[in-house]
Amino acid sequence: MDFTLILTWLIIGVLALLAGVTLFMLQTDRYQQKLFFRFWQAVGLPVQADNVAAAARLRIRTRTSAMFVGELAGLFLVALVLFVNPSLASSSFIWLFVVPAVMTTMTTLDVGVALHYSLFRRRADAPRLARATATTMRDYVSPWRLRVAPALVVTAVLLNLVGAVLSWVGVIDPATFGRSSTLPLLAAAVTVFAVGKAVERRILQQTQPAADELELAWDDAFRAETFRALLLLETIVAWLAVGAAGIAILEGIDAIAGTVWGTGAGMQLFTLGFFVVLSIFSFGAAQSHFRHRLWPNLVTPHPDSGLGSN
Amino acid sequence: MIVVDLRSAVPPFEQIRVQILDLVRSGDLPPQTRLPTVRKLASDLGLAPNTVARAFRELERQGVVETRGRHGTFVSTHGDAVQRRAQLAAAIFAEQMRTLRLSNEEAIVLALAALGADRAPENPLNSTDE
Repeated sequence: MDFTLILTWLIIGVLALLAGVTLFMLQTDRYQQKLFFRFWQAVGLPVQADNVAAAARLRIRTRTSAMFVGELAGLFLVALVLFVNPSLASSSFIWLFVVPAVMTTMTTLDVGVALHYSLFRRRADAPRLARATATTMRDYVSPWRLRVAPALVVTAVLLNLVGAVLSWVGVIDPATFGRSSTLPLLAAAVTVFAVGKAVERRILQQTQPAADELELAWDDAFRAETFRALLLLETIVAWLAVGAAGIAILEGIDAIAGTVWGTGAGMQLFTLGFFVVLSIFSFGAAQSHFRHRLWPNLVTPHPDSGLGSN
Repeated sequence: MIVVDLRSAVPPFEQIRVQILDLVRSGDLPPQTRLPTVRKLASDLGLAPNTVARAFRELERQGVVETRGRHGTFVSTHGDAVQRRAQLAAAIFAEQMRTLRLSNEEAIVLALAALGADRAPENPLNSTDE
């Protein structure tokens, strides 16, 4: 068994262990409270009623459990692929197989929770409240974040075309470019993007039972979170397609020129871009955009006021 | 926001109609704002789609909203039906004046004369078209 294969199994094992530990910790009140507090701070909505805090905590627990079960399922799938075909183990296996598989299964179960469970139940004696305007994706995710995934898919298509043309004119080595996994990743990026758009429309039409504005605002918070996860998946898979095409072109150039710097530089840029993509959907107003857009007048009390410890 | 109270003596469709009308009149729902679909609003409020559809039909008959096929239901440019009809008449008048190759100033003079205005705008025929 070579070193790369051992390392790949080790990474899969560590990721599975982390997911298992998180699932175990999720059973404790303390960890649930910690997740709730973190989410509350990120979205910046007030918690003025016990039922809101309880429902939010339950949803966070269900959602996080689903996502980590999804991670384990994704890791099981890639482990199965690696077991059947150990020759796939390489330095790029984690990027090409583990990351897309894990993110896809995690997001799928996250979306499943969002579509299957309502944050609040309709009460017979309570008034029923609904928004008078139709909402769009721009209400939940900032417009420039919405443009990242389609821009990357278009870039991936263009890079594949450039690669094909350069192979044809002999600037890059056609065999090296042909051996790369650019086309399957491009197909995956287009598919994930198309399915993602369909799911987004489905979620926007999802019922939001609420008795007051606060309940509707919290429902919006979780909806925004699901959109964020969905767009992160679309963007990461699109970035993998861009990275694969770019690196394949650089490998083709290296094969003709007899150099190795292109591939190395490409991998560095690819890894850097991956973390940039993660940052785009993790920092700034990534989690609170919906509040500024849909609930600008809802004011959050200071976290130390004790309202979150329900 | 639209709030429906099923314990109220007012039927739900009327509650929806009145609230949307109030939101449009107060400016909280500006012209061209897209309303939720009948199905979405009905499911959010836990009502039958026919109830919401009836409220929308009433609002459309009043000229408060307009349905644009698959694009959805929108708040009309002017929720006030009288103002909307007046705007339409003005548009038809302007089109006919262009067909007759009259300048804006000539058209305004004719409109003021038709309205029985005491005096025309200051030197309307002496000004030139930009």
